[in-house]
Amino acid sequence: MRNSGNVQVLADSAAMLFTIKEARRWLGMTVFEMWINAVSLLVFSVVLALKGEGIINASWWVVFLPLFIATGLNAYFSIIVFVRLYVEDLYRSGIMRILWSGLVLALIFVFELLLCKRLENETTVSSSLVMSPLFVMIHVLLIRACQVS
Amino acid sequence: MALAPKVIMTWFFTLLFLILLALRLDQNTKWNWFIIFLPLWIFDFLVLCIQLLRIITHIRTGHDRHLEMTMSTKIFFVIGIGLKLLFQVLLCVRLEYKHDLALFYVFIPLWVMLLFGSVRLTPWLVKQT
Repeated sequence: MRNSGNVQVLADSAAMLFTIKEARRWLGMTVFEMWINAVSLLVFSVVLALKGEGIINASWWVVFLPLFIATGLNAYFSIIVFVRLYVEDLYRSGIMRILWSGLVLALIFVFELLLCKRLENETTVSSSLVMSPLFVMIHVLLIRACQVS
Repeated sequence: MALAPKVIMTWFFTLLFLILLALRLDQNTKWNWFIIFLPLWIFDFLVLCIQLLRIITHIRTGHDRHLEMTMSTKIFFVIGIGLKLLFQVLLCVRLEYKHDLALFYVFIPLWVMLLFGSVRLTPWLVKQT
């Protein structure tokens, strides 16, 4: 319960400082991907509150479903963009884009998976281990910022 | 402000918050939740100051310094930060003092923020595709 509440604070902590253009450059995300993330967070937090208050009795996997779907959609979208760039002979930018998005998406996915398993008591790893993909991710994003600016 | 200082600022406070959060969740410390959220308080305060300064400059000179943000965007950001702060305060209160506070009340500011955010992002979506 506590974990997930905090995850959200983290997710939107940077949103207010950057313009949409800067966020696009930095995160390498299109507006469409950001929009998917915002909507999935909204759905996730509603389901989370319902579960927290004991109104629905779903497993954590169901609660995290919106986030998994969003990650999957983003991955799908990234692949589509890669194919488009490849067809248009923009190999370099296509490969760079899919490497960055793929890395970040993979880290997010590992984090969600670990958090879910931990909340379901399927593993007994410590919270710091669960959060390790996030630690890696913010450094990856830091390096990316150096690259784009 | 250029991109790099903003990114470094975000990175620094996020890292600090993640470390404190990991310590607290693993029961290595028993610090108050308000202290765990300290990096985020400072970060939000800085962001709020930057936005307010930009609004003041906008009003005094009549246009944005870099012509990249409209007045409504800035006001929207300030409201967004306010909602986020409210959410964090409610979350801390719930975690630290009032364990029986209904989660719906805690989440309402976040929901409002995300709802406005996703609505705001949609016109861009239409324009792009």
